[in-house]
Parts: sequence; structure tokens; C-alpha cells
Amino acid sequence: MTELFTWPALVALAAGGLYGAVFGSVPGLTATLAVALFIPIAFFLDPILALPAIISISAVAIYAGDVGSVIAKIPGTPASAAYVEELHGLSRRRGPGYGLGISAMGSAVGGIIGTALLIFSATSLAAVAKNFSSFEYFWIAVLGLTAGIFASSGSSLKALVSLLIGVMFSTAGIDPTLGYARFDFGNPNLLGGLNYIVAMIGLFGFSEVLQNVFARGEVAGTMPADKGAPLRQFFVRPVLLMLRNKLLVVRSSLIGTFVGFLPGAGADIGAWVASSFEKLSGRRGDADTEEEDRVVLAGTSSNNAAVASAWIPALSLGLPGDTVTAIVLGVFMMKGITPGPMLFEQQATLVWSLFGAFLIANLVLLPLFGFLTARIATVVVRIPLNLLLGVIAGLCVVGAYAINNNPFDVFVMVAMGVFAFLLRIGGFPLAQVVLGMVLGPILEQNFMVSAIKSRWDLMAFFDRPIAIGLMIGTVIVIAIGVRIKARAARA
Amino acid sequence: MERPRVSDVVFGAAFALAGILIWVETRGFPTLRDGHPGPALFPGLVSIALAICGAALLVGGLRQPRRLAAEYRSLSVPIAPLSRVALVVVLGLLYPLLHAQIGFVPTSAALIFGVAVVLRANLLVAAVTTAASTAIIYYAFTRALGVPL
Amino acid sequence: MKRMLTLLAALALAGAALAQAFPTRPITFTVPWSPGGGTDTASRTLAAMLNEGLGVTVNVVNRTGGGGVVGHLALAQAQANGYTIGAITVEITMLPHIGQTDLTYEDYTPLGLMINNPSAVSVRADAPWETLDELLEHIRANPGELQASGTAMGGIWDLARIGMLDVAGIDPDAMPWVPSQGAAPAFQELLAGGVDVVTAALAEAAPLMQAGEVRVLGVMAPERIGRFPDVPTLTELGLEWSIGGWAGVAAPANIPDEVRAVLAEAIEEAMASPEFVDPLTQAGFTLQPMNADEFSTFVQTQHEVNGRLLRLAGVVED
Repeated sequence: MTELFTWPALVALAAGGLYGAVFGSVPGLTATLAVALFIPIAFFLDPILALPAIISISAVAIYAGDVGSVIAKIPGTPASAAYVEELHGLSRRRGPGYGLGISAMGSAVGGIIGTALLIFSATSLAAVAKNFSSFEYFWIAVLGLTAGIFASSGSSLKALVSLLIGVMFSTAGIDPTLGYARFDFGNPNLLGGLNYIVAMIGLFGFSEVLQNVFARGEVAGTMPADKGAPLRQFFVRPVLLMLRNKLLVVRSSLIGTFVGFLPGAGADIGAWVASSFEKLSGRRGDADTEEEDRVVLAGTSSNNAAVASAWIPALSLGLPGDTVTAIVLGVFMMKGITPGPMLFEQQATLVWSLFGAFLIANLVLLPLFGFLTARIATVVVRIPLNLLLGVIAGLCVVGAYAINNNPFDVFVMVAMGVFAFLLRIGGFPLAQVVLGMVLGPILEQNFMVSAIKSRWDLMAFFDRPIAIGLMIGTVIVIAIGVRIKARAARA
Repeated sequence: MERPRVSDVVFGAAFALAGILIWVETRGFPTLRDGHPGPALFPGLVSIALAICGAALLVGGLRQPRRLAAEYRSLSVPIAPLSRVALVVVLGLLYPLLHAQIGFVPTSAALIFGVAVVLRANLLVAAVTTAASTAIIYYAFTRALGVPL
Repeated sequence: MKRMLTLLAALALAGAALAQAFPTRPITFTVPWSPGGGTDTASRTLAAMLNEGLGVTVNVVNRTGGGGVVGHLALAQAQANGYTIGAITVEITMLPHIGQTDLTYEDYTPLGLMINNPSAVSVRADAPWETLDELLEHIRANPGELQASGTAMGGIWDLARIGMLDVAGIDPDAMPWVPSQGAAPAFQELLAGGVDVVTAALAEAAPLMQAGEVRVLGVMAPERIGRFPDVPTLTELGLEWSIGGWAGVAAPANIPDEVRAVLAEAIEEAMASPEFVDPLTQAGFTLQPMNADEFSTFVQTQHEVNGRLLRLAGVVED
């Protein structure tokens, strides 16, 4: 690990963190894009510099996805959409420094728990991950969608409608079985479907602008300044909150880790399941004013735990779970590093510096850059809303364009903004639309693959032990959810 | 806060209709080679579910006809706010429509300035903010982040 | 009138001067696939070389979506002046047959082939077949029992399966295809026991092979691949069959001849430099550098071969 404590390596780590903070905070820029733009540089760097930089980029970028939620209710990632209402609400009540403090501290602890599991049980977790076939993926997606129905504070029927709309959006474009173009209206831009990041910018960002333009000052109202010293708001209070809710943090991080190591399923489902668990358990007595704080804590610790555990299948099986780890494997290959169980013995130095980089990124960089972004956010929210919303509108357009460099996506973004404006009038939740768009393709793809491969013997969905476990989990979520909703309706 | 029932009726009807239309559209999709449903299966099921949920909303709203009628009478169409929204939507479409002709800077500036003015910002302050933020966004994206605009 | 002629002459001269000086401003390099993929990586590495070779900035722009259609369309419709070039990939010789686009290779000026990643035949490390012959025998004896995956139905790795079985004299339906969203999910299915065989790029199979999770029975290339000398080719095993996912560089159709010459030369030179070859080879890509003329012939052949395979796959009806 000593390789990590040289100046070039530390500079690479810090620079990666800063770069990740910027990419995560700006709508439309993602951790994946940040890492991809870094590839040409990574190829010429020593892996002992390149890999830590990639780690700190992705660890900080996931946290920074919450910055937009705090400032303007625009989540930067689908994971962050799971608790956007709560995070924005509590930042309005108790100041943006505190909101981002919970987010950063929760992320840091989640990241550390995820890393610990990566260190101690990568090989055995990989053995579990190896057994996930399309059946298990199908049930994971069902579980995530079920969590989405009951995660809404309002009517479950409306949450279900939002979810169905999201899933419906996701079916546009080339279908996964035959490559048949569905709902493309002859436009080649629609062949690949609707991008959910673009949709998210419109659904949350642009619709927020439209909402304010519609009500002109009635909904607005500026955010209060942080009460108390910045350090206290950002570090002390969130840490005290975590100490009061140790079990919650551990439980959410474990959910994040277990969902995160499944190739492709990742941080989003983890954050949704963890935060809706907390929403379902709800308020603890009348004196409880920390319900929102706990929901945010649950989501944010789970999604950073998933970032670390996404590396498990990549390191121990050579199987990339997402784009970021695919790029990492590319760097490995280029430098002649062999992934697999032997990696931990043959490349012990490298592996330990990776673990070290994870720890430094979560222990030092996240709090550091988190605090920096929180200070900036505190200044930004003081900008009068009528000016800030103009800039947000401009950023929505640029962000939507920057995803694919395609002007068509800006049309999609604006259309989603108008649609979300209407949905808000009708009282339909927006985050569920995003969840539907993220999980819809996973659900359809894995259902169709399972059906084709079992030659349409649908009993095969109930054949495998892990699949049955996930199915039972779904049934439990439905049962608890229905009971709690019924009790809330009576109260 | 109780949501207005009129919107439930309108949205319920719209989603039910959309569900049925999409279902009809999926009937035209091809099947797999062995005759099993392929591209149509999933959107078909989702559209049926959407239609059922829409119908449920519609029925739930219609269950109290008297309250519905009273609410309907008290509704008025907010023309001025809606036209402000329409204006901002048009400004948002300037970039994809016109960026090839006039580029990023004027289209983005029009949007930022437009939103600020609609929200009653001081013209001078709005102009300064627009100029500064457009410049920052432009340089940040094209130079620092390597995203051409 | 005279003034007009002078003006025209001046313009013509200026035009000639501009053409001679090509390039005088930054060049845009479009990539029809997402950042981080093989095409993107090769394109970004080449663009970095072209920066030096051409003396102007070459900006890589990802135009993704539509299974590659969006980015291919953007390049074909760009101004034919040499200031927009980009990657074209094997899909341009497949999509027109399926009818998803009217674009064909004829809408481009081919400038050079960068990478051509051959398909490998992979099975689980604990599978009973030690050689490709044993696997093919099993398929022949038990038609319909084994299933393969690797990409979408009718995608390039599906064509790899069809072509291999066809050359071996086996009906492609004897080992049906399970569609997937790409090579990585297909390998996940393979490891989980969902499918029995994956035909996908050797580069994608390599990390799993090194990790001891899969066994590669053969590679569909004319010669063995330098980094994997132990993997036999199908030709050695008696099957005259090779196929790969390739990515090349092209400009829109009908660019001026001088401009084409400048670009073709710069690209040929860049692709020969060790700064291009070494990192990409080490990253597991198979380079098959071709100059502009060779690449033109290559895309035409590919268009015909892939059209035939798609008909064989039943994706395209006659």
C-alpha cells in the first residue's frame, strides 16, 4: 500500500475526487462519462496512478449526484431520485449544509462498509454473483419495482401509474428479442429508446422551472441559511444522527453491497430498496422529526456501498458489472494484469492499493470535497430564485444535450418537463417514472431471456433457490406495504 | 391535502385511453419464429395494467358526483400562468431547433434571460446573470470538460 | 460581368488554396457507440495520434443511440469537406439488410480499418467439451439441446454462431440463440449455467479465460492471435470460417479527392505508430490495419457476406 502514499498517487486521487465532484454535481454529466473522458489519459498512466483516480472519481461522483437534489430538487443519478423529496425537504428546513452532510457522511460510511466486504469476502461474494442468471435478475427487478410502489408518501395507485408510465417509456426502441423497432415513429433517434438520464433532467429539473414559472413566487421561497457553524452542520450533526441510527446505516450498506455486486443491477436498486424500507417503517412516535433524515441516510449509505461492491465480479471473475468497471478491466488488460481469484495473490500490491484508494476516497476525499460542495451549495441557494431558475433551465438544456451530443435529447428533455408539470398537477410522483425507466428494460430483457431459454416453461421462474428467496422477499414487501398503507388510510 | 377529484377523472380517462391505444398498437408487432409472443408481450401487458389503473382512478373520482360537480364549477383556466409556461417551453426548444444556425450562446442566453424576466427579475440584474452564466457554462463545457456545444 | 468573373476566379483560387492547406481548423470525429466501449477506445487513441499527424485538434464526439444508427446517420449526413470524420462499425453492413436504416457503406468514403475483433467460442471451464470438435459433435448428435448467447438476435455474434454451424454442415437451429444485451450479460448467463456456449469477441472472453472461469475452444480468425497463442483458429480445426466485430474510419461520401488523400495518409501513418498499436493490442484488441483502398473492398465484401448470413438466420426474409 506504500505505493499509494507517494505524491503523484495522492495528487491523482485528489484530482480524481475533484473531477468526480464536478461531474456528479452538473446535471447531465455522469460518473461514466467522467471515467470515459479519462481513458486516453489512463492508458498512458501507471496503473498505480490510474486506478486510484478512477476509484475516487466514481466514489465522489455518486455522492455529488445529491448536490442537485439539495439545491433544486434535481437528482443527479437514479439512485439519488429515490430520496430526492426527503433530501430537498430537510435541506429546506435545516439548511443545505446539513442535507449534504448527511449525504456525504452516509456515503462515506456506506463506502467503507462496502470496501470492508470487498476486502474480506470478495471471493465468496463472487461465488454468489456467479449464480445469478436471468431468473434472479427478473426477481430483483420485480423487488425494486415493488419497493417503488410503496416508497411513495401519497396514493399507491398513483405511484403504480407513475411506475407503469416509466416502464412504458422504456419499451420504446429496438426490442430485446427480435430487434423490432417499437414506438419509433420512423425517427432513428428513437430506435435506441429514451435515455433515462435525459428524462430525469426534464422530469425533475425542467418541470421545477415550469412549476415556478406557473405559480410565479407562490411555490418559491428561498432556503434558510444553515443554523450553526458550517462544520457543525456538515460533520457533527450528521455523525450524531448516524450514531443514533447505527443499525439503519449497517442494514442499508449491506443492502447496497448485496445488490451492488450483481453485475448490471447496481447502486440504483440498492438505494430504492434501502430508502423505501425506511419509509415503510415510518415515523417513530410523535416526537420523531427525523424521518426524512433517516430515509436520506438509508439511500445514500446504500448507494456508495454499491460502488465498492460493483468491483467484486470485475476483480474476481473478470466480469464487468457496469461501464466504469468495464473500463477498469480494459486498463487491467492493457497493463497485463490478470483478473480472477489469483489476482489477490499475484498482484497483492496492486489489490491493496486499490483497497487503500477506496478507503482514502471514502474517509478523506468524500468529506473534504463534500464539505467544499456544501459550502458552494450554501452560496448558490442564496441566489434569488428567479435568477437561479434561469440558470437551471440553461443547465437542463446543456446537460440533456451533453449526454449523447444529440439535439434530439433536448426535445425529449423539454417534453418530459411538460409531462412532469402535468403529472404534478395530478398528484403523481415523479421518481417512480425514473425507476420504471431504469428497471423496465431489466425486467423485460430478463423475462424474455428466461422464457426463451426455458422454452416457455414458466415454472422455471420458481425453480432456483435464490430466485425463490427473492420472490418471497417481494411478497413480504407487498404484505408490509399494504398493511402500513391501510393503517395510514384509517388514521 | 386532498387532491382535486377532477384531475383524477381527467388523468384516469387519459391513461385508460392511452393504455388501450398502446395495446392496439402492440397487436401489429411480429411474433417470435416459434410463434411465441415477442416484442408485443411486455408493452402489451404494461398497457393493459395502465388502462386498468387509469380506469380505477376514473371510477374513484366519479364516485362522488356532487363533489365533483361543485369542484368543476369552481375551476377556472389560469390563462396567464399557462402562457408563461408555454413561453418558457418555446425558449427551451430554441437550442435544439436553432443551434446549427446561431449556436449555443444566443439560444441559451435567451432561455436564461427569459426565465428570469418571466419571474420578475430586475432587467439589468437578469442581463448580467445571463451573460455571466452563459459564459461560464460555455467555457466550462467546451474547454474544461471537453463537451462540444 | 468582368468584376463577377474576377470574383469567381478569386474564389476558386482561395478554394484551391484552402484545399491545399487542409486541414486548417479542428476536425470532429464521431463515434456511434458509448464512451468506454471498444470502438470508442480505438477512436480516442487514433484521434490523439491524428492531432499530431494533421496538426489540428481532433475532437471525439459520441453520437450514441438507435443501435448505432444515430451516429452512423450523423456521419453520413455531415458536410463532405473532411472536417467531419468518424468511426463506422460492422453494423453498417448489417442494419440495411434488416431494414432499420437506408444507410449503406456507399454513403461513406472509407479511410481505413482500425480493429477487427474475432469471435471466440467459449464454454464454462467445467464443461465436458475439451475441443471444438467434441462440442460440434454434441450439437450434431443432440440438436436443440444446447443454447448459445452473445448479443441480440441477428447481431454480429449471432452471425458468428450461424456461420460456424453452417460451415460445419449443421443446421443453425441445432443450437438456438438466446438474445442478450451484449457480451458481458451473455457471459454472466454462461457462468450461471443459463446457456452453454457464448460466441463473442475473444477480447471479451479473455479476462474470464485468464480468471479460469471459461474455456475458449477456438477463435474465428484466419491466424492465431498474438496475445493468445494457445487458442486454435477454426481454420486449423478444419472449418474455413472467420468473422469479427470491426471498426474503421470513414468520411461522408464524395469528399474532395485531395482531402481524402490527406486524411487517408495521416490515418495510415497513425495506425502504424507504436503509440496506437501497443496500448490497443495490450488492451486485448485485434488490430487489422487496412488503408483506404483495402478498407473500401472490405466493407463491400462484408455487406454481401452479412446479408447472406442474416437470411440464413431468418432475420431477413427473402
